[in-house]
Amino acid sequence: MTATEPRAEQRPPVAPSWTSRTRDRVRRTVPEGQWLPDRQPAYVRSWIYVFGVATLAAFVVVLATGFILAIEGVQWWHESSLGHFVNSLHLWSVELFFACMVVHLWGKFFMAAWRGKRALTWMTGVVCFLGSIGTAFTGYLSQTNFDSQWISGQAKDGLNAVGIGAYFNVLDPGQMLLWHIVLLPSVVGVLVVLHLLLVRRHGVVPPFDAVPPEPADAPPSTGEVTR
Amino acid sequence: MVGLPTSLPRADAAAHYLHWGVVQISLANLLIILAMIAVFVLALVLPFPGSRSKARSEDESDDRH
Repeated sequence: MTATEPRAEQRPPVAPSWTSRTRDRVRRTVPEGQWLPDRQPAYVRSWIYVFGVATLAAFVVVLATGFILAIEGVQWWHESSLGHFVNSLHLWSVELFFACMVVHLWGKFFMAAWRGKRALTWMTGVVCFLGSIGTAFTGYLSQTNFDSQWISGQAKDGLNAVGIGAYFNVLDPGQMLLWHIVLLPSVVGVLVVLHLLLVRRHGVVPPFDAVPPEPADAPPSTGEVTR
Repeated sequence: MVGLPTSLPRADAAAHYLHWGVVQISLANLLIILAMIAVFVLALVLPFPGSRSKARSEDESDDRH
């Protein structure tokens, strides 16, 4: 130890490890008491606030039926009665997912849901929506029937026309299946988790004429002040 | 093999399209969009179940205090 080195008690604190930084970040982002609340503001008692969680519920069914389809395989969903049924569940839960998500989007757009430091919540929802479109598109390409063949043929021309056809080949069903069941669901899944964390952090956006129970950045209370 | 009743629409038939100038949309897609708009409007105007009774009971409890 040289004379120029500070003594141990004078040194600045050691930078925390990435695990402690991550833990602190998570704790600050969603403090305890906010991540699974059992009380909500009174204005949440409206049908328009149902469509976010309805989208989430449909997403869970999409994932569950997708898991079953992936386990059983193409021949099963084409030839067996149960395969047809699960395939249909997968399709119709996707239809519900998009319908609920679009109504959720309309509701939040007309409420200007990016108010009150909720811009990142809004943007994760937007990117999630775009990612879901890509996931659904590659799902249609993975049906392995004449419909998927027709869609991929049309999409190839469209994607080449806008100059992004070099990055992936929609005529390659293996590649599109991997995008559909691995890459895009991972992106959408992470974004959904982020979106939910941010909703819990800042609370649902209040209507224009409502007063939120407490400022979005206030320290966590033991229960959100609501009915 | 029992055939489908003739009154049911055939899923494999060509879709019926509507045209307004450069805009064209299948009738099925238009109906779905209209249904979603109807759901959106209903979600705004329909009362949520239990909201009135809950508010009333809270008003009564406030009166007692």
